[in-house]
Amino acid sequence: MTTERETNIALETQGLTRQFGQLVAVDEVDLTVEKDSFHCIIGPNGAGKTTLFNLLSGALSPTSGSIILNGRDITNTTPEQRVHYGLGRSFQISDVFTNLTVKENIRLGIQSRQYRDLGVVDKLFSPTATFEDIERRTAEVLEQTDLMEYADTEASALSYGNKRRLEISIVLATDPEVVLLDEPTAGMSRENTMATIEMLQGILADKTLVLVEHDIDLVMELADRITVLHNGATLAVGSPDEIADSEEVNRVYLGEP
Amino acid sequence: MSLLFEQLLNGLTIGVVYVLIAAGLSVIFGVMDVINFSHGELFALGAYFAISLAAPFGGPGFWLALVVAPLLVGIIGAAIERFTIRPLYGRNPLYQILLTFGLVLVIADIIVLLWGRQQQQFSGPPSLAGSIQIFGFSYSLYNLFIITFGLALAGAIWYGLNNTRVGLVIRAGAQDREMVQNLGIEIDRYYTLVFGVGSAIAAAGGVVLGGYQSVSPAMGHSVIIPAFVIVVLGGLGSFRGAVAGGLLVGVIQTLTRSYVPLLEGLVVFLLMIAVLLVKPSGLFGDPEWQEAGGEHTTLSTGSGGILSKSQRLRVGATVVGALLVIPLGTNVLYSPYIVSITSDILIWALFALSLDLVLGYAGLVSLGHAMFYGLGAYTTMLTMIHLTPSVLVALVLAIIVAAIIAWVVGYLSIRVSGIYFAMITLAFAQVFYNLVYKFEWTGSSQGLYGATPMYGIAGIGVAVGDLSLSAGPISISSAEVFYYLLVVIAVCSFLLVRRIMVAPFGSVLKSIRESQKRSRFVGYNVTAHKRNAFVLSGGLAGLAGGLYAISNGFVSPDVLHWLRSGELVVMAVLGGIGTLYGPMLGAGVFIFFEDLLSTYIEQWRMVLGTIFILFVIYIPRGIVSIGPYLRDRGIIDITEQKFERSEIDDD
Repeated sequence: MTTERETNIALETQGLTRQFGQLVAVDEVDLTVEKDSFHCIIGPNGAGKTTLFNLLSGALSPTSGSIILNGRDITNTTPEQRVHYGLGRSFQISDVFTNLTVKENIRLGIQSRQYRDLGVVDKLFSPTATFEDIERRTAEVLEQTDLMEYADTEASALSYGNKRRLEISIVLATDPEVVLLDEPTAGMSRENTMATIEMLQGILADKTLVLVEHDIDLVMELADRITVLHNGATLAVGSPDEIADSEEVNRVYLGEP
Repeated sequence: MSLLFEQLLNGLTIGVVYVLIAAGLSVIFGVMDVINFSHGELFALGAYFAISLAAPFGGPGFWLALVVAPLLVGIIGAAIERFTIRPLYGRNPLYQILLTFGLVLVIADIIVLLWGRQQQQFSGPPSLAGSIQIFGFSYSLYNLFIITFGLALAGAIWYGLNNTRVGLVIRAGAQDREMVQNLGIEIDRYYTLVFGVGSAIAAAGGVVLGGYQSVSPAMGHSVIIPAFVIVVLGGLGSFRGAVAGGLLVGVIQTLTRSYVPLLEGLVVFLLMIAVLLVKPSGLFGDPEWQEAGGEHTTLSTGSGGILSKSQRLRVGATVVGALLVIPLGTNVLYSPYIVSITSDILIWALFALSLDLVLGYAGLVSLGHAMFYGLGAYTTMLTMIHLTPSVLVALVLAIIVAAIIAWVVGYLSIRVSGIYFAMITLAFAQVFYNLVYKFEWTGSSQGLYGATPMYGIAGIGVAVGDLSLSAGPISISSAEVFYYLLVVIAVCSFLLVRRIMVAPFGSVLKSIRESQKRSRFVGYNVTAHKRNAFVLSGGLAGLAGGLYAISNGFVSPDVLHWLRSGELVVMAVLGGIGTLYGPMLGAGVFIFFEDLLSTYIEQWRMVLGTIFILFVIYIPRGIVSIGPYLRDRGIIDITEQKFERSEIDDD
């Protein structure tokens, strides 16, 4: 039965730990993210959310423990290798390729997954427009994300909402199986938050989503499963209802007695 | 034993002077992030003021000079900060490097204008003329004075930094500028002060060194590179580091000169490279500087010109057409000199194109590109002298050698970012510059000459100097044949690089230029791409150097001098980086003006430097941005192809 269980797990960590000097920012975290689920990681400030996110994306390497993506140990891989194994991550809005067109932004995402299969001569000398497969996929993603009408617009000229949309669309273009999202709605009004989440879920439908979030109300609405971090360690794991009922979580996270 | 001791004291004497230069340089960087290339010129200015001040007063004149010269230079330094550097705060640090490079040209020429080119001497005070007995041997009193004076001055500055309110603000500013401003302190005024005091200390170093050695116009730019080494060794922004580094470099230099002459001029650069690779923040540096200049606002002009695609094509065709007909007018409309100057422009344009690959697309500020150019020139010359006169073989070897060295340098350097990358490439270039002096086979300081380049391969072909063509009324001299070869190579290289930039590899480079981090998380190996771009760039620079060697018939260590790397960056920025044609245009304009100005005025560098400074301040995106700039302000209206042709003709 183990094989069935494994195939059902998209992302997993075992004893994941990161120390900064004396400080243990992430402490023996065992995370299990099921395929196609919306998994949220919450915790108060300083709980180790950002460090955990950076460990998962590859921006930091762990002190000990391992990370497994679709059954493959990716602990010692670089961020760019993780993209090729099917892990995507979202960014702050400013992190699109500002002076390139919307189409080129998307195209770069699509090209990324096929890049290592291109021959040296093709890579160096064939104009990008001659790669029909990549062009076709780019058009598909532009259609799918409602950005077609802005295809030739420079990213810098987009409205706030469309920049956000483009940002997520680049992630989609890299064809990830698991997408890491780091507080994608930080600083937004309630209305914008909901619109953004809807956009996210629309574009990234049938992807496994891992959301690192501060806003507990939002998480309760969205998550299939929640991991609560406290002082770097896992405090509780469960469905939103289970988390809402957990005394420990209420005590620590909500500051209730 | 006493000889070693004497050498140590000599080393300390020079070391103390280095400390006086490096201390200001380092604190200026720490507080304002400005890498001040003109610091060496301010140091030289101190020595020259001392000459003028000391002479009329005889013996006591030295003491007068020691007080007044630093004051004057301090005022000049403060003015430089106030009027030229201040408009640049908040921009990419590259602009400050460029601006201060422009200042180097200006100040160096002012020195020549006022004091002449020849070496000069002024004597130290008579009271310090003798020598005294210490530890059983006699040693120059004046040297001991330099050591004592320098250390006392450094000590006083250290005390001031640590025990006064002004010092506190400066140290706080070096830590976190914004925080200091938020506390309601006008940090800008302190910038002027720091720059002024830093310049004054350097000038004091110039005065005391002037009494020890001779004073010459080159003393500024020969001292600035070791000073950078010291600052990087000690840690950018660290006063302690500058003191320790200065003394260390002074002693090491003096000892290697006496005991391991083979390593003279190399050891400090190798030391710096090693330190940067192991501990990029330097011996005493704050690790937070590591990211200095890492990701700033994008420098490149990028796309967004005012011409449509067909207009561009037409302009390009016109330029190529003009280049092709230039030789036809020689001896009729103008002298053959036009062909020779245009040949120079083409070679520099190729060199500038190579720089744009890394500067404009990979965001790597290389201050050592003369290294690849020089390697190409030397390889070509050596091949033609010893192996085969074939131009083709020599150029191919030039490209290969330059590309291999670029791979090695890139492999070692690309792990450090921003300013550190600039410094490490500068250091590598200096290593090669000093290396060619060491060996007989590289021609030492004499240079290499005496090859008879030939078109063709394996001994079959015709000598470059002999191939001329004539058909009816049109005759093409050998220089013109070579000129056509240059046109073909320059145009083909441009088209090739442009092609690379629209291919997947180029698209990744552009993404790196936009955001390294994002590019990485989209799945591209940023480091590998930067390295590959660096290798391509190195190879192309090697080709340019090889063509120079053939065209010039002579190579000297001069081709590897850091001023050449600096001038190249100037050309690229003047034209507009990240556009490929911009830097080529910049090279054309630069060489054209250099040639024009140098015919009429001896101090052409001063004029060119001033023009360049104005460009950096007012038109930072270069000549190619003038069009969009005018259009955006409604000054010109481009609906038809009435583009200002004068801009493009020079290319």
